[in-house]
Amino acid sequence: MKISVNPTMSNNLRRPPAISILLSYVNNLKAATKTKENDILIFEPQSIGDIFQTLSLVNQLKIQRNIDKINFISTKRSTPIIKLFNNVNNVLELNNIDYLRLELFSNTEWYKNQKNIVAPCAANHIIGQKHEDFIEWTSAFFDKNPMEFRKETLGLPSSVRPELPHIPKDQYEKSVESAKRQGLNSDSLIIFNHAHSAHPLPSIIYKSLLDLFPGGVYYDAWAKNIPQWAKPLKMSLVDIPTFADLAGAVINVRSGITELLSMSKANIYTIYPDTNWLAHWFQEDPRAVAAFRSHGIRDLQLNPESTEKKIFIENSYTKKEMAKKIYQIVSKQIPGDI
Amino acid sequence: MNILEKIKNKELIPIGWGTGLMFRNRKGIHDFDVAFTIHTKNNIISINKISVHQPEILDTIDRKKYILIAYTIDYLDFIYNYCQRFDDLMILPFNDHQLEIQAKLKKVTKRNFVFQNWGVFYENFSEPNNVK
Repeated sequence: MKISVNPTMSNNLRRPPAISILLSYVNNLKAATKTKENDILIFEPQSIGDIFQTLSLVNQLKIQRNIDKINFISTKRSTPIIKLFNNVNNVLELNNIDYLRLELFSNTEWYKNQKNIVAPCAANHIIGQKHEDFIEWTSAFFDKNPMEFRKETLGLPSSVRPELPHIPKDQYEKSVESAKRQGLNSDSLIIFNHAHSAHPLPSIIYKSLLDLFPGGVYYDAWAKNIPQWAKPLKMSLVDIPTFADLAGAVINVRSGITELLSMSKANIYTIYPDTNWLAHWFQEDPRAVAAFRSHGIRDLQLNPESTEKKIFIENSYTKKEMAKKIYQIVSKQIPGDI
Repeated sequence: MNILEKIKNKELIPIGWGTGLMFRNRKGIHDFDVAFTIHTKNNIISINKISVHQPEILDTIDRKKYILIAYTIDYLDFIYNYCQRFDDLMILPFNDHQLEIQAKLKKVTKRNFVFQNWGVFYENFSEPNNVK
């Protein structure tokens, strides 16, 4: 989950744009998405996980707030997820979103009074005074479940439950065909060892898992440095839930892929590392790590029946200790972390 | 037959709205050209050898034979509002996916660079077969 502005963007900032420029930018985006008074325009430019969470609330948003059209501004890589949910009207797929302007406008009084524009991800930041410390995290990030925060931003009551999409039959068949072509076996494990929010862990820590999966161990082909003992597996984002079900087990470093895995009945193991492995925007803040570790599939109400088991990797662990803990949790010798 | 094929087969005549930077770079994203373009002020007669008319021309043409392509973001709202009265006129923004802008945007050239910030627009995204 990305929670900072693009650093290049903020480095280029000499002075914040005037509010009139921000308004002109946002009004142009409203026009470009054909957003009218009784519609709602959602900016969700950040991570796949954020987009997934917001889209899981869109059906209820339409009902509860009696909205005509729900329009969405996002980036190209989100398009397959938007298509999967199939619940928004107009989409503006931008190549580059000006995070800086978005974050700035989402912190204006003007934005707070808008009923038909929401930026669920940007809205959970406040702008700091210092250039190098552009974003300060609000207490909302530390104290509040991100799904609850999202509901609040979208004007939804806490009682609303997120809804998962159904994979269309033709998409399911495409995924099964792709899995077959690549020889994906049942009783196997798929490893996703990369994330936007976290650095990859040493692949050696997963090697002992080979003993537990007679169908073999696969590594997602997006990763760099795929170990020789694992088979690479190519897939699109929308293949992930089906591939997980076919394999039977998945281990992933917490990322937007975890949200996609909420649609799967497979055994899910999610690694939540400590600050040494997390991206710079966690600012080595233990409160941020604690909050991050409360973003599990069941915590977010995405799927109360999810089998997800959490694995916390602490800074003090050696590679051997990491491997041991992962093996013990996956082999059910010890329970997952809470 | 999609919109682009209809334009290429001359079943629809493309016309523009706008005379600014996007209009002047239109060939960077569209393989066809417009028959004329619209500008709200009467201070320009032609641009790039394309005649410029005022919006009232839309009252005089057989609108169902035309497709209006809006080459301006700043006036998009104005254009949609102005054209609300014309049920028989099809309007698309320059970045509509039906004009197959996606392929053009992949090539980073000076011409299509001006369009990069406005990406690709999908209207009624969830309708079956609307998104390729």
